[in-house]
Amino acid sequence: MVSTRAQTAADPEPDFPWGGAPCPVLVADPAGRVVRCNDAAQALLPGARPGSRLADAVPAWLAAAHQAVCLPGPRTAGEPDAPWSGMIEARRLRAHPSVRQDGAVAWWLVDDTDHHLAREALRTERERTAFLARTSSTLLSSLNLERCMDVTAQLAAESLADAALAIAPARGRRLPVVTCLRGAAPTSALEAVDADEVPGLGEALRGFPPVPSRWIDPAAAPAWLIPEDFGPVGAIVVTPLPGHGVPAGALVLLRKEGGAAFTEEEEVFARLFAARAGAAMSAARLYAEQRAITEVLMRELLPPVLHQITGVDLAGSYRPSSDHERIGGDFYDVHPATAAGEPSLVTLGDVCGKGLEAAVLTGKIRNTLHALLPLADDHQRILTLLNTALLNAHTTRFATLVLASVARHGDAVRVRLTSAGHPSPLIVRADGTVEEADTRGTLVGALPDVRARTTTVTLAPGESCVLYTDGITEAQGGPLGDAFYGEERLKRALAGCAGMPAEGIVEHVQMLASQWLGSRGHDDMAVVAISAPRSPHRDAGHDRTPGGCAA
Amino acid sequence: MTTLPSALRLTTTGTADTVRIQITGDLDHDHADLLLDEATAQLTARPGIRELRLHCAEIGAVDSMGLSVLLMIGRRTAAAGTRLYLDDRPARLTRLLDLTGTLDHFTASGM
Amino acid sequence: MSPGTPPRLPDDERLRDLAGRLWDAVAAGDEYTATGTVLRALDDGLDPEHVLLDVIATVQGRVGEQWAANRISVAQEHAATSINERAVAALALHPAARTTPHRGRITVACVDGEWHALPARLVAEVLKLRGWRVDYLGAQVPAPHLISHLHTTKADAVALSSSIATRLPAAHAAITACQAIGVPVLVGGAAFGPDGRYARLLGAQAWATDARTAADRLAAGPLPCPQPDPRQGDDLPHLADQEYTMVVRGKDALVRTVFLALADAFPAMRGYDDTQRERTAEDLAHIVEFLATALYLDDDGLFTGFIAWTAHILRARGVPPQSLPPALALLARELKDFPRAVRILRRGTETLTTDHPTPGTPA
Repeated sequence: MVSTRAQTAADPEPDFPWGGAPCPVLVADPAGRVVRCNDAAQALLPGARPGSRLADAVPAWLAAAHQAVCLPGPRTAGEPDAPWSGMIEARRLRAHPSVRQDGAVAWWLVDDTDHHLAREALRTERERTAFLARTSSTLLSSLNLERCMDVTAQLAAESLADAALAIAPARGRRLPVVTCLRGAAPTSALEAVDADEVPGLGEALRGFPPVPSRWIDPAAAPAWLIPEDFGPVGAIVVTPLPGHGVPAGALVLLRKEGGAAFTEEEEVFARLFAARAGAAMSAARLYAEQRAITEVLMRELLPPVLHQITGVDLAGSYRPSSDHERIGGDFYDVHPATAAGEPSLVTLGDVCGKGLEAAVLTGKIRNTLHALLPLADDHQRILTLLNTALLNAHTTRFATLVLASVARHGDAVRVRLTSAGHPSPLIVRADGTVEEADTRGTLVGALPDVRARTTTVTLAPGESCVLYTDGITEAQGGPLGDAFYGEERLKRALAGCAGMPAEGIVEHVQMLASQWLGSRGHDDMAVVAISAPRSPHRDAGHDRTPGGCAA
Repeated sequence: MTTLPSALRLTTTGTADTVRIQITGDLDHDHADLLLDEATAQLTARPGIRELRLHCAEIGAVDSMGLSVLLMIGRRTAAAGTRLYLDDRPARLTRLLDLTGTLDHFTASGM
Repeated sequence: MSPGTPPRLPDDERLRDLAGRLWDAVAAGDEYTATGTVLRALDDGLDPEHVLLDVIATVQGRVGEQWAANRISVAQEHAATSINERAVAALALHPAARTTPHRGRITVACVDGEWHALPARLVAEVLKLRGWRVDYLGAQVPAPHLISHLHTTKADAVALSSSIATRLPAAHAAITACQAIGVPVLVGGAAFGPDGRYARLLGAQAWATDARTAADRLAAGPLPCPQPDPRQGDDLPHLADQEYTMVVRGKDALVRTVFLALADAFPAMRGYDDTQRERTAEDLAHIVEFLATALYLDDDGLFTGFIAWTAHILRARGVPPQSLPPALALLARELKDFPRAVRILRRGTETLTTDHPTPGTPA
C-alpha cells in the first residue's frame, strides 16, 4: 500500500488522474470489475481491489448503480443526472458517475452525511410541526373528553410510539383508559386499578408533585398497561398531560423491543404533544362538568312530556325564543288527580322576560302551584296565594297563566278554566267551530289584588281545548314578513283540527307558527291541548299508556 | 320589511305640577328600562308633582317587559302620591291592558 | 331476530294486510285501533323492524300521496302523522322491541326548520332494534343544540334527516358543524334528491334512501372520519357572487313588490279574497325560497323540479297554474342584476311551457 500511495502521489497517471483526489474515486469496467481505486476509495472500501467483482467489493446500491449506467440501450430522460446515494459504513455518500471512452465508469463518491443530516433534521422538524398543527386542530375541535382521549392516543400511536395510552384522572375508583396500537382503532376501558402502582402515573394524574416524563422498567409494568398482542416491550415512558392549571391526565408511550429507543429529542417532542393534548382534554372536562351542572338545573325547568291522564288526552309543546337555550319564560305543567274522580290540574303560563332569568321565575311559579295543589279546585284562591308569593317590593315581574281543572265525565271531559291575564283558551268543537273560553282575570305578581272569572266547558269526544302563549299569536312574519300570526289565523287553523288527537293539534299549531316565522326571531311559544278521546272504548289488553283510562 | 326595529325615544316636558313624557317607539325587552329610569328620575327630582302623563300615541310594540315597567311606574307614582295617566293609548295597548286585567288599574281613580 | 318468525311469504302477506288495517285506522283518525293493531302484530310474533318499515312507513307514504292528490288537508295529514307517531311510540315500548345496545352510539336529528319527524323517528327506532345506542333529538333541531349534544355524548355518527329541499342550506350548516368537531354525518330524506346528489354536494359522509339502508350502511362499518379542513367553504365556490345572500336578505321586500305587481299582470287576482291573496303571497314566498336554495346549490334542476311539481299540485287542486309564468317573469325583472337567478327563473318558465307529465314529489 505504501508503494502505491507513493507512486500515485508523486506521479499521477494520465488515465487515472485522481489518485490524490480527496474524495474516493473508483473505476469499474462494463463487466462489473474494479479497474482502479484511489487511496480514499481504498480506505473506504477495503475489498475493492483491481480485478475484484464490484458486487463483492461495494454495497449493493453502488453495484446496482454501476449496472444501470453500463446498461446498453437508450436511457430514460434525466437518468444520467439522477444522483445515486447510499450508506457506506456510517456515512452517506452520493455517487456521481463519469463514463470514459473505453466504457469504464469512474465513480466519484462524495460524502453527503452532514448535508443529509441537515436535510433529515429539517424534514423531521417540518413533520413534527405539521403533526403538532394537526394535533391542535383535531383536538381543539372537540369538547368531548372521550373523543379527545381517543384522538390523543391515536395520534401518539401514529407518530410517537408503537402504542399509546391516554389516561384521565380517576372517576370514582376507576381509571378511564384509552389504548391505541399503531394502525389500529383506539379502545376505551374503565380499569379498576391503582394508578400508583405505575411509577410516575399517580403523580401525573394528580399533577403533584410535578414530574417530568418518566421512564419505567417494562418488566415492572402492570399487565393492564401493555396492550394485548403487543409482544415484548422495549421501552415505556409516562408523560403528564398538563391542563389549564389542573391535571388533565397522563400519556403512556410504549415501544417494542428491538425498536429504536426514545431519544431525548423525541421526549421533548412528546412533551410538546402532551401540552396540546392536555389542554384539549382539560377544556373538554371543564365543559362536561359545566354542562352536567346546567343539565341538572335545566331538567327542573324543562316542560314535562305530557300524555294521557285519567281518560283525557294531553299534549304540550314548547319552543324557546333563543336557539341557544332550551328554556325560557313560558311553562306548562300537569298535576294528575290524587284521587279517582278528582280533577287534574293543567297549567300554562308566560312570565315576563326571556331566557334563563325568566325560566328561573317559571320554576318558582311551578313549585308554588304544586304546593297549592290541595286547593286545586278553587282557582281564585290559588291565584291570590300565588300572587302573594310572587309579589315583591323591588320588581313588577309578573306572570300570566291559565288554570284548567280537567275531569272525565262519561265520554265527555269537563274543563274549568281560569285565565289570569292570559289569552283565552280556544275550544275546538267537533264540527270545526272554534270558541273562545269566557274567562278573564288579572295577571299575577305585580298588583296587590287579583280577580278572575272562571268558566266551565264540556268537551264531547273528539273536541279539544287549546291553551297557548302569545308567542304564537305575536309571531311576526308571513309571506310578506310584517304581519302577526294573530288570533284570527290561529282560530282558522284550529277549525281544520276538529277531531284531531291532542298531539296532532299541538304539533300542527307549532308548525304553522314556525312556518309563519320562517327564519325570523321569535318569543317563547307554548301550546297545550286537552282533548276528549274520540274513541273512548279502549282495547284493554293493549293499553300500555301510563295512567291508563280510568273512566 | 321597511320598518327597522325602532329605538325608544322619550320627550319630557313639564309644568309646575305635571310631568308629561311622550313615548315614541317600542316599549320592549331591550328599551323599556329607559322609560322607567326617566319616570323615576322625574319623580325623584320633582317631589310633589300631581300628575305624570305618559303620552302613548306614538308608542310601538309593548311586550311583557314594557307592561312590567308601566306597572312599576304605577307603583312608584302611587307611592309618591302622584297620579299616573296613560294618554292617547292606541287600541293595541288598550287591548293588552284589558287582556292582562290591568286596564282598570291604570284608568281607575287614584292612579 | 325472533326465532319464532313464520316463513317469509306469509309474512309479506301479513304485512300487506296489516298495512291495510293500519291505513284504515289512521284514515279514520282512530288512534287506539292504530296502536292496538301494531301492538297485536308484535304480540303475534311479527318482526318489529318489518312492522316499522313495511307497515308504518308504508302507511305514512300513503298519507303523503293522499295529501299531494288533494284528498286530505294539511291538518288531516298532520293528524294521520301524529297517529303514526303514536304507533311508533307504542311499538318502541313493546317487549319485542327491547334490545340491549351492543354497537356504538348514533345521534338522530332533523335539520332546523324540518317538521317532518317521522322518517327520523323510524331511523332511530330501527337503529335501536339493531343494537345501537340512539339519541333521538326530534324535529327542528337548531345546529347549536345538535353540536352541544355531540360535545357531551361522543356519538359515532349523526343521522340527519331533511325532507324539505329549502332546508338544504341549514342542512349544510349542520353537516359542516358536525364535521368540524370530528363527527361523520349520514343524511337521508327527500331533500337530498332522489339519487342523493345534494348529499354529495354538501359533503355528507354517507347518504341513505330510507331507514333500512341507513341502518345497513351504519352496520357495514364506521363512516369515514371527517378531517378538519381549513379550506372549508370551497365546495360551493359560486356563493362568492352573493346572489344567495342578497336574495335571502331581500326576500320580504321582493315578495311584496312582486305580489303588488302581480295584481296588475294577472287580473284574476283582483277578485281574490283575503285568504286567497295570502295563499298567493305564500306561493310567491315559497318560489323565492326554492330560488334561493337553487342559488345556494347552483342547481337549476332543484328549481325546475319545484315549479313542475307546483304546477302539478295546483292542477290537482283545480287551480290552473296561470299565475306562475307572470310571477316568474316579475321575479326575473326584480332580480335582473343577478345573472344566476335570472338563468334559473328562465329555466323555470321553460319547464312550464314544455313539461306536462306528472312529476314525482320533489322533496
